[in-house]
Amino acid sequence: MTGPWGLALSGARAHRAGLSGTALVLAAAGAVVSMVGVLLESGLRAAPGVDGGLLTALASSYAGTALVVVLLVTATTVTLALRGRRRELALLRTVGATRGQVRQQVSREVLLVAGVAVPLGALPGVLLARRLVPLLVDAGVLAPGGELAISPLPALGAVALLLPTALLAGRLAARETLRSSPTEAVRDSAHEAPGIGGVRRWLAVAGAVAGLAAAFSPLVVPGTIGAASAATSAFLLVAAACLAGPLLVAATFGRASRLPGARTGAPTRLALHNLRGYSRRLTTVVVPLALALATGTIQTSVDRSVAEAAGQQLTAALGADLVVTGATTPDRVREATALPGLARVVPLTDTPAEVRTDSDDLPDGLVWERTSLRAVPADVPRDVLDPGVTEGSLAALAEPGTVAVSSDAAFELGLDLGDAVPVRVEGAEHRLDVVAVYDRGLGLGDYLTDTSTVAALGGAPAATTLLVDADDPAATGALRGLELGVATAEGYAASVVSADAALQRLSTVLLLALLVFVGLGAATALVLSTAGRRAELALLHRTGATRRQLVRMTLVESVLTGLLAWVIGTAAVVPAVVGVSAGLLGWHLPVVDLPTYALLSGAVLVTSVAATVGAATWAVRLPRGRTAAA
Amino acid sequence: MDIHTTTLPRTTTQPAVRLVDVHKTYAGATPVAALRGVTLDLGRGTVTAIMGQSGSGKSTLLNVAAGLDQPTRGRVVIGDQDTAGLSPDRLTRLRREQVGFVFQSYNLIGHLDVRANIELPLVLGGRSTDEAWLAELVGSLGLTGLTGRLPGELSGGQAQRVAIARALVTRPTVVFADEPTGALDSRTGAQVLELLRDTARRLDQTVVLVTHDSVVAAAAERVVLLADGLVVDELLAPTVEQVTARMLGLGR
Ligand SMILES: Nc1ncnc2c1ncn2[C@@H]1O[C@H](COP(=O)(O)OP(=O)(O)OP(=O)(O)O)[C@@H](O)[C@H]1O
Ligand SMILES: [Mg+2]
Repeated sequence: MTGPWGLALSGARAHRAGLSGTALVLAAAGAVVSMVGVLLESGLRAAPGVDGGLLTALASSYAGTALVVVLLVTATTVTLALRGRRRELALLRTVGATRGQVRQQVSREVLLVAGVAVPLGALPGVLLARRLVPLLVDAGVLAPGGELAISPLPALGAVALLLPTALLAGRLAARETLRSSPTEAVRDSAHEAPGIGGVRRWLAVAGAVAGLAAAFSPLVVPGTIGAASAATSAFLLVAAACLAGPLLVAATFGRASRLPGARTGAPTRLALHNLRGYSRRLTTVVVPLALALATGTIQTSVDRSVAEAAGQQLTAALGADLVVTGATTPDRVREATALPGLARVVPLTDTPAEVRTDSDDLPDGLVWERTSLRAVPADVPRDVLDPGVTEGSLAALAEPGTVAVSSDAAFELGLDLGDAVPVRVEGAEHRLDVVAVYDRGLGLGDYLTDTSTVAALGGAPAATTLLVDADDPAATGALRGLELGVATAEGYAASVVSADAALQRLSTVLLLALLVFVGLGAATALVLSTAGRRAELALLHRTGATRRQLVRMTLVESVLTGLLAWVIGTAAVVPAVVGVSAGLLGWHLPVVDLPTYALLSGAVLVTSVAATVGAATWAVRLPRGRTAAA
Repeated sequence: MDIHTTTLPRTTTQPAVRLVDVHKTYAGATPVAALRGVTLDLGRGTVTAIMGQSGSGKSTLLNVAAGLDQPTRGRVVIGDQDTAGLSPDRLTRLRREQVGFVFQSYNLIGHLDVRANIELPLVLGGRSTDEAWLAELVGSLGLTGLTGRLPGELSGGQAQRVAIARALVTRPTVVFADEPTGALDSRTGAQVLELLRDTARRLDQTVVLVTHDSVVAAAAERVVLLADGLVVDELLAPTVEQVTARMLGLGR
């Protein structure tokens, strides 16, 4: 055993139990990142049979959430693993290790673990992505028989992303020990300094302010973009809560632990003292739990809000008696139109197209967004179809080469009346002039043109929806006789919103994968921190606490930990949910996916209790561990 | 054992460690003034014992003098280097090269075996081990056969002797020892002390040790008595009886 690498190896070997937990989480993080990477790469490569644009959009919207969560959980786990090593690092300093040497020792150990675990996890991540193929085919992202691109890039990406994160977390964790003099560091490692530093305090305040600002951005930013930015507020607020954690804990449990314990038993009083005394440790295990609750709730609630908003907009936009679907060819359209008893028939034709969203010179999949041009007759009466025009007029669509854009799209692309939109139809690029901006883009789609414009672009219509006013009730039957779908406007709106069931299923599976990862992170954190308390538990045991009392004490702690995570997760989600709802649906009762929220709340409590009590039972059962001669 | 006759020549040259009006106050809800103005020269090649009641500031004095902790006020000079302006890392290097420290609480690294613990300062300093010197330390400290053990498998006294070996392995110019014989029976304690003085003479080391034991203290050439963070008395070439008497005097 010579040299710093020897020290690092020996340290890693000695703490293999703790490090294997860290390795597990790092491997899982590698898996999630490389899975996202495979989807993203496949989307960007857009091989035959792959809808590149859709896959890129899907992967990048998932990647945002996934990366934030993965990075937070990874950092938390590394921090926690190193927390148990503070005394050892402090001792090294008393023997003459410079701060640089301590930092290097930490970095080497982190490198050893992450360097092995992340690549190992990346492989199953690729397999995981391949398991998604059937779902991707169902959702129309892959053609049947289509393949995902398989290359080493996603694994490399995972390493490039996670290694620096782990190293940074290691450095920050070592900083606590390095800030003070060696003797102070040895003393400090035995307990935790209450309160938080100035930088941390300011970061917490900044996080909270940024989070609240993001939550209420829908007031300024319209539609889905506002909703998406509101959704990020949950992460910012969880991060802020964790930065301020020790203060929050002191505020919550400080008074409780000083209450005269006339009627509270010893385990409860000990538990309260522990939570207050180890507020940093508590904060670290709370992060993944709160994050799981926040991520799941906000994701599903945003989906709900979007669906609800789309349904509302459609219902408001459609004034016709009936909506007829399934007329896939011009012949079928003509057939339907010719039926007797129909007072008025307005066809809406959808043509696949791509719109350039970015003028930068980036891969196709990133700058061309898949959408569809919806052709409506320029003279469509307001009482049949009302897109909610806010600027310009629909009548101007009669001019060839013109387009009306939704306010969301106008905001995203920075479009005004008179601007030109780059559009690609059947591989050929065109520019369409914006002549109107309308509100109901979520329900109707982002681009409306006149039938003649689409025809001039040479687009191949994919589907036609007929808006029908029938004065003869028999007409419904006749339409059904043609094997066409017939529905009222409300019925149609509802069916459109739920039609994307396959896509919904895909995003549920992706969300589930992420939640499994967070759950793993949370359980590891709890087990790590409980196992790291063996010496403390053994000491209490020697001082006269029975095993029963110790297990009861950790039970109380774990319930309170779970509750704190639940409160933080919930509090972090509320502004986001209100903001998203307000942005999409206006100010009224916010839409929350209550079943998911209830389920996750339960999962947070159960994870906290099960992992903590399980680890504590193990810790107090084993014969008294070797304690370092210290 | 006639200990106090083996005095070393006191050098009149520059002291190995010099403390000038050193104050140390521990911050906290109620700040504790552990040192309240200590001025002390520790001459090269001398053995000094620090005595005083529990809580009088002995460990604090040792930590500050060894550069392990910063004084709140006053100057600490190790060799010819004033520690005040040094960066933490420069200070660490100075400590590593010149100072050996035996902690009251041993401070061994739990996952390193005895040999690795002893070698640790050399590894950190990027130096290779002098096997002969290591063998000599291990032999004379009675650690033969224990070098493969982990600290958790040692008795308190054995761990203390490992800590002493670790402090001496770099051949430092100053050795600070905080109750190095506290966990040892009087026979082993006397042997360890013998070794400390022996090495000190051979390497021309300065030794400063904290002790509660009058016999141990009387083996030093000089005893410094501390009370409430101040030097209250000093004995040169003391006898056991003198030391005991002064300590009893402090208790009043
Ligand atoms: N980290 C600290 N924070 C606050 N007060 C401290 C700290 N360390 C020591 N003290 C206080 O400083 C005073 C001197 O402590 P020190 O450890 O130097 O005493 P000592 O003479 O070594 O005692 P002992 O013989 O018991 O080891 C004591 O009153 C002690 O309570
Ligand atoms: Mg002491």
